[in-house]
Amino acid sequence: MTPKDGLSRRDFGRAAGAIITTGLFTGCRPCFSPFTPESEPLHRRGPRTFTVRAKVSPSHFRELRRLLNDPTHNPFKTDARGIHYARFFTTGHDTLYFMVIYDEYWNAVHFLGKNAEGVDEIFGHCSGFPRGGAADAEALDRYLRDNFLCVELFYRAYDTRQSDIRDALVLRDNFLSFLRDSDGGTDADLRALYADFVDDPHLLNHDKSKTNDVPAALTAANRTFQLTPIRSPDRVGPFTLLARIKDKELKKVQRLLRLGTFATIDLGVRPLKNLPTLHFARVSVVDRNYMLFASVYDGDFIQYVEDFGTRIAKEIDKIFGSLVGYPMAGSRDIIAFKAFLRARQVKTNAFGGSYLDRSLLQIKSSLALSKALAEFTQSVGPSDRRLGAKLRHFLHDNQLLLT
Amino acid sequence: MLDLRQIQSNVLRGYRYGTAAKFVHYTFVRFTDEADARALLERLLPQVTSCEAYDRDGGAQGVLNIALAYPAIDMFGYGGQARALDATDDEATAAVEAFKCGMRARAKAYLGDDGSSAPDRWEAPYRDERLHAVFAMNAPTSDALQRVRGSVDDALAAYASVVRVHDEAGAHFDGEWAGKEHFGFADGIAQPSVLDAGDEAYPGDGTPKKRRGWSRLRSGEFVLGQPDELGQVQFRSAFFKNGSFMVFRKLQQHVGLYRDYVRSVAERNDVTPEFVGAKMVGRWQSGAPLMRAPDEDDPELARDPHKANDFRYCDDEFGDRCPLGAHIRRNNPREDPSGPGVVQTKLHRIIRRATPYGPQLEPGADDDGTERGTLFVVINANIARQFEFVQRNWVNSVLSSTHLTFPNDRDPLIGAQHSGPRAGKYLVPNTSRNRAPLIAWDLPRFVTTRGGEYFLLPSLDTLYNLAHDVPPPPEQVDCPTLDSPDARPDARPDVDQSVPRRTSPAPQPACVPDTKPDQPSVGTKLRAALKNAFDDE
Repeated sequence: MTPKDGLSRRDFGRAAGAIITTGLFTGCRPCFSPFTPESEPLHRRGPRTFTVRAKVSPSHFRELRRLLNDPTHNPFKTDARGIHYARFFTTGHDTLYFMVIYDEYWNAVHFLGKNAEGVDEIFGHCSGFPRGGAADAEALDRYLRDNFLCVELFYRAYDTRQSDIRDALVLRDNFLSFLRDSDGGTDADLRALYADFVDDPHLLNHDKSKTNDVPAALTAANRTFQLTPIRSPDRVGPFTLLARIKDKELKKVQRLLRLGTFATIDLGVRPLKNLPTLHFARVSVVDRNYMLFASVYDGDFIQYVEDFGTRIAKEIDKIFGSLVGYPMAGSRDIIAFKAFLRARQVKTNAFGGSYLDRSLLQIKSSLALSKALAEFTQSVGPSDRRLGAKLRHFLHDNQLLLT
Repeated sequence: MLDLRQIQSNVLRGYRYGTAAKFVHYTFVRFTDEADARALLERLLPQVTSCEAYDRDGGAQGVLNIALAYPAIDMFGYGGQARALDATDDEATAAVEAFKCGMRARAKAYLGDDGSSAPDRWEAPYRDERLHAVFAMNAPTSDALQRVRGSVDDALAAYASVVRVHDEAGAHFDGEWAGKEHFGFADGIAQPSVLDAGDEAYPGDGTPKKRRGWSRLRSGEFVLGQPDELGQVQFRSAFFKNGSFMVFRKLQQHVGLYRDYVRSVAERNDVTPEFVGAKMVGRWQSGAPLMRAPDEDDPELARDPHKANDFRYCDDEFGDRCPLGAHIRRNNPREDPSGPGVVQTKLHRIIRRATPYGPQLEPGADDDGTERGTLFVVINANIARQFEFVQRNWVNSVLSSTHLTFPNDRDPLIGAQHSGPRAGKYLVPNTSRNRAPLIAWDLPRFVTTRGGEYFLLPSLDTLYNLAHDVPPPPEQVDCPTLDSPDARPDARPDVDQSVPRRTSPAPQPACVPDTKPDQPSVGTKLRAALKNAFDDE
C-alpha cells in the first residue's frame, strides 16, 4: 500500500524467473494440488482451496436444494478457525459442489468433522459419503481426496493466515479507537491510552519471537461461521460461472491457467493485482470441456464487471476468450460481457466467510498497518520522551493505511 | 445531430453554473381520470419548452416541462410497452425497473436512505402514495415564473379530477451568495457537456482525453434513443426516443450542524473552518478547485469557466491536494490513478440541477430551526447505471478506489453516515512530517432526504401522442448485420415494440437489489423449470 517507484530488484528477479520457468515448464505442470505437502517452504504458505464434487443420490435433489436455499439453515455451528470462505452450489440437478478456502488442509477436515451434524445432513443426500459421517476423520479425508476437483487456476490476493487477518482487522479498529480517544488530549492522556494500546493482545501475532496463542475469546475469531444470503453492497460475495470451452482451446487455456497458478503460488506475483475487489479466483475443468469459474469479490456486481472490463481486460479476455459465446469485443463491451456472465452464472446456494463485512482493501491495509504497528510499538514505549512526535511521524508515514 | 425541437429544455439547457434560472417551482399531481389527464396534457402542451424554444430567448419568458412517473405511464396504457423491454434488453431492463419501482421502493437498498432519511420518515406527499406527474417551471425573474405558474394553475383548476398533491419552490440566492448552496459552496460547476447538444463546452466538462483536452459525452447518456458511451442505442422505441429520465430529490441540509462540526474540527487541528470545509468538498467556497488552488481560495480562478473545472487527479494519487474521499473526487473521479478508470467514469455521469429552498442562514448565525436545503434534480438516461450507481458505490461506499479502505467512511458532505461504533471519519493527508494527518471523527449526517421520485421527461411528440391518445407508429425494423452493435435482441422483428395497450398485468419489478449476481437469468430459470418438470415425473 505504500508508494513505490519503478520495478524493485525483487520484482525484477521474479519476472525473470517467471520468463525462464515459462519456457521450461509450459504445459508440463500438473494442476494445483489442494493438499499441503509436509515440507512446503514458508513463503509458499497461504490460503488454499479444494472443491468437492459429489453425486446427489437419485430423488434426493429437491430435499437437498430446499435445505441449501433455506436462509435459516446453517450447517456450521462452531467458529471457523483456519477457514476463509466456503460455498455450496448445485449443477444439473445431480451434482453438489462444496468449495472451501482454508489455511491448512486439516483445518478444513476438522472444521467439517466438528460440524458433523450439519454436514452429514447435506452430504447424506450424496452417494458415496462415508457411513460414519464427517466425524470419522479418516473416512472423510479419503472421501475428499476421491472427489476433489483438479484446480487449474488458483488466484489469491493475500498469503496471510485467517487468524492473522482477523487479528489485523481488530487491531486496526483498536488503533483507530486509540487515535480517536487521544485526539486533542494532553500528553499524560496520550501516554495512558498508549500504554493500554500496546497491551493489545492482537499485537502479539506479529511479533514472531513470541508464541501465537491469543485466546479465541479475545479475537474476533470466536464468531460462528455463518452461511447466509447476502444483501448489502459493502459485503463480500460469491460469483460462480459454468461455461463450455471451445473445441481445441482446452489445452491452450489449461496451460495458461496453470501458469497463472504457478505465478501466484510459487512466484508470489499477482497477475490480477490491479483488481482491488477480487479476494480469490479459481478455475477447474469439469466434464472434460466445461470451465467452472468461482470467485470471491467485494460489493456491487456491476462495479465488479466493470472492473473486469477496465482494469484486467487483457487477462480476462485470454481466459474467458476460450469459452463458447464470449463477446467478440471481449470484456470491454461491458453490456455484452455482462449478458455473457449472467447467462452462464450458477446460483450459489449458500456462502459463508470469516470476514464477510470487510473488503479486500480493508484486509490488505490492516495487514500492512499491523506490521508497521508491531515495529513501532517495539521501539517506542509509553514512557518514551518523544512519544507524541514519534506518533505523529508514524501517522504521517502510514496515513494511507488509515483512509 | 440531436432533434432539439423534440427534447424538453430541462434535459440539455440551463444546467450550467451561472446559467441556471433563478426561480424554480415544481407542482406534483396525481391523476384519477385518464381522459382529464390527457386533456390537461393537451392544454399545456403548447407551453412545454423544448431545447430549441429555450434557445430563442434563453428561457427569459419562463420554462415549463412535464415529467411523468410510472403510474401515469401505466395509466395511459404504456406500461406494457415498458414491460416489453424487460425480456429483451438487460441494460434498459435495469433502467426501466428503477423507473417502475420508483424512488421510495429503492431508496433504502440503492440510495442509502436509512435512519433519519428512511422513506418512512419522508414528507407525506412523497411517502404515502406514488406521484403521477410533475410540472417543472423555472424563470429568471419572479414575474415570468408567476406567468407560467398562472397558466398551469388555471389548467389544473379546470380539471377537478387532477389532484394537486404538493408544491415545491426554490430560488437561488442574491449578491455574494449567488450560485451557492446553503453550506456556502458554489454549486453545479462540474457538469457533463453533451455531444451535438449545440451549446458551448468548457474544459473539464466531458471525458478526459488521453493526454490533454476533453471530449464531450455521447448524447445517449442523457437522451434516450441516442448512441451512448457503450456504443449502444437504448430505448429506441418511438415512445422513449428523445426523452430522458429525471430524478427528483428533496434534500434537507443541516447548516448549523455542519458549521459547528467544521468549526470544532478546525479548532482541534489549528486550521480554519474554511480549510476543513474545502478539504471535505474538494473546492473552496468560491468554487476554485483544490487541485488548482491547494493553499487558499482564489475567486478569480473560480470566475473563469475555462479554468475552474479544468483539472485531473493524475498527479495527486495520494490525495495531498484534494483528499481521496472528497465530495467532488468521489462523484466525478475524472482521471484518477487511485480511482476508477476514465472508461468507467464516463458511464456514470449525471446532469445536476440544484436549487436551494428555505431561507439562507447568515454566516455566524445560530441555527434557527427552519428547514432549508436543496431541490435536487438529476438528468440521466439510465437511472440504475448512472444516478443509483454513483449514489450506491461512490457516495456511500469506497469500492472503486484503490486507496480508500473503510466502507463506513462515506462522502463527507452528502453520505448517509452511520452513528455509534460504525460512524465514519474523514482523513485529510498531511504533507508535513511534523504534523499528523487531520482526522475528522464521527461524521454526522449533514444532508437528509425528505422525499423524491423518478420521472420520465418524454419527448414533445410522445407528449402529443399521450395527449391525443395516438399510438406511436410501428417501429421501423432494419436488418442489422450480425456483428454490428445493433444486432440486439430488442431489434427482433417478432417483438412488436409498438404495442401500445396493456394486454396483461405487468410483472412485479425487483425493488430490492440482487446485489450478488446469483439471480439466475430468465433462460436459466426456464431451463430449471423444465428440468424440474421432468424430474417430478
